[in-house]
Amino acid sequence: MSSTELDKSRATSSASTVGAPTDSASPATAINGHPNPGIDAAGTTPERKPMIEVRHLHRFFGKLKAVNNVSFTAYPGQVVGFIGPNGSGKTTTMRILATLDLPTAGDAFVNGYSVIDDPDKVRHAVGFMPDAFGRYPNMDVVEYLDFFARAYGLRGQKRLDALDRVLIFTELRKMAHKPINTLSKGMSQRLGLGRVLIHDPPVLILDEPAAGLDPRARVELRELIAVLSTELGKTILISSHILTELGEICDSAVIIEAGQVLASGTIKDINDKHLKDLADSKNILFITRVLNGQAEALATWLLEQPFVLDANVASELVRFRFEGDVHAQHDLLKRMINSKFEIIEFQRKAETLEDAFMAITKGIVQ
Amino acid sequence: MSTISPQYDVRREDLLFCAHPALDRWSDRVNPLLIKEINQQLKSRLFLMIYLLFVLLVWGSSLYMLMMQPQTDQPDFEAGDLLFSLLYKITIFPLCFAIPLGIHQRMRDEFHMHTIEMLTITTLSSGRIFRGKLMCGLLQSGLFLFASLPFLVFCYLLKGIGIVEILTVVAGTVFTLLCFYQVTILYSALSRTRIWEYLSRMSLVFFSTILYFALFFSADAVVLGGISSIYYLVGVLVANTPLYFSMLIFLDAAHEQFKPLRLMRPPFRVRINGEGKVIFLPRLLYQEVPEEYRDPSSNPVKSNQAASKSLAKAT
Ligand SMILES: Nc1ncnc2c1ncn2[C@@H]1O[C@H](COP(=O)(O)OP(=O)(O)OP(=O)(O)O)[C@@H](O)[C@H]1O
Ligand SMILES: [Mg+2]
Repeated sequence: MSSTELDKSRATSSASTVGAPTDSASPATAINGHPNPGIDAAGTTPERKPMIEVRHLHRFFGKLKAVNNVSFTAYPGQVVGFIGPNGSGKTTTMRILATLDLPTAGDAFVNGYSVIDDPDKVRHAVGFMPDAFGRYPNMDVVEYLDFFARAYGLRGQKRLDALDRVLIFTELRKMAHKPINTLSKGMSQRLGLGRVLIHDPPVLILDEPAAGLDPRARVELRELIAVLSTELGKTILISSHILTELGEICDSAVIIEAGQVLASGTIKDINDKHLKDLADSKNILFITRVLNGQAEALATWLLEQPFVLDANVASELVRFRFEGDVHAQHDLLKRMINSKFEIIEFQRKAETLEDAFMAITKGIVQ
Repeated sequence: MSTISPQYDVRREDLLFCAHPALDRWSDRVNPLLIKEINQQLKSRLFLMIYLLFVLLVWGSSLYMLMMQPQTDQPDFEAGDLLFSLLYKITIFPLCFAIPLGIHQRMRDEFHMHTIEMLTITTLSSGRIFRGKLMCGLLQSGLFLFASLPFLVFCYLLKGIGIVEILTVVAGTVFTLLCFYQVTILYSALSRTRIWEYLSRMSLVFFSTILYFALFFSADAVVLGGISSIYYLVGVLVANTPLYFSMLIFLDAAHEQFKPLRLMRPPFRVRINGEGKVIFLPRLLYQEVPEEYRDPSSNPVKSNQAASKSLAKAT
């Protein structure tokens, strides 16, 4: 192992790792829990080296800290969701990874190359699809792809093969001669994806690719992304604020707000941690359904019970917040039934990824 | 071209530059931007219209001059120089106005539509992007010259002008345009705000007008005024000095623009520093780095790296 690799592995150990049960508050311990951290204490060649590695990335615009100490790592074949509300610094981070911008401090590595020191090598390894990309006038789909194939230095048969491959993969063959400024949103997203894939990079950075797509186009996009990661082994960083959608595409996620990572890990971990926090917080939303118009009465009754914070009625449903522990919950239900309420449903409101997101982010606007 | 049947499948012949293996091989060696531009140009109605109009004008004026000739019965009538002067004024009009304004417009669009960003993250160097843009301008002017060159040479047959003078003027013009287009590209890349874009377009029209009349009068001086070709060429080299100079001034500043780091508010990347010296801002990021990060030893990341590097060396 070369000294630079060693150097890299040392530095890595201070960054949080996506996909590992990490605690973003103490990044130094992050690496320990990773099932396949790619770092070996004995110094042998790592089995998997990270494809994307963001280390203490900062990007300030004057006083505005658009990206403020962001660290995460993504391994080959992983699809990482980059989730955050508007203005949280997703695009800024992605632009740095795509070598379109430079960090104020910190560094980011793609396929082991620094975006600061080796931008050219990073460009070979990365395909970046911005949230909105310009279209040249007087150009059709195949000419557009051909142009980028040339721009990435593909020549002769290689270029033609790349064109074929991309046109088939994105199913744009039928549109090959459509002028690009007449394409629909869904089709131009496909074209954008096609352009990103033309030089067959191992890392794809997609900035809100699903924004503005109809449900069908979204499902299709999801399928394309699944193929890219599972069959072609691409590492994909994909940003969005539509969480439910990312939950289905991604194996892990980084949640960012106001330039800072709030949570990172597998989707399941994030969700579980959130549920655990909720359980700890003892402030849970319950929904009960009662028969025969007893809802009003139940709500009034509930408000007299201990630990109940509030209660409100929507037809036969009563929602209430409760801050007691499980025993208190059990007690409450027993008393409810004893009070002759005809209860047909009593459940804790299911927590979705959306709820986790809402709970984790605080709506900070810089 | 835009209507396609749903069963349509792309074939290699459908791409202009892939149609023939030889053309394909040739196109691989050419700047990709040039290929793109040719493809686009062939579909641009505006360009085709301007070009058609131009060809008609050149044809028309040549015919007109020819018809004038037999009506005068002086044996030593020489119309070559007059026709040349007329054709030259027509030819350099699009070269001085349409093409530079086209360059400016396309450059502006590249920045507005962020297509320049997509270009810069390809493996094309900014030098190649720049040369591609320049070649596109030269290609267009080549097309105009190509259309009028037969007529310019035809002037020789009408007497009154020598072939050396014709070639000298054409060479001087091409050289001046080469310099002017380079400056135009750099100049167009400088402005970042709308107001500056507008001002730079207006000033470009102004510079184009100056160029037009400079070319116009200097060619007339050779063709009609009888100034020697050598003087003309020396004059061209000297008169272009402001262009070489502005190229140098804009080069560094505009070069940064090809790496579109949109970090700065001011419209230009050229600044006067505290000591009154002109400075070009290089990688602008360090301008904005807060104090605590300017000193590497206090930057936690860099110092971490330095530490681990020295550790790695030690082991
Ligand atoms: N070039 C710039 N100059 C100044 N401020 C900028 C610049 N680019 C981004 N910002 C600011 O940085 C912050 C983060 O922006 P960014 O575009 O990264 O957010 P985002 O997470 O992508 O948001 P969205 O979901 O809306 O796309 C915002 O407050 C934005 O205004
Ligand atoms: Mg964004």
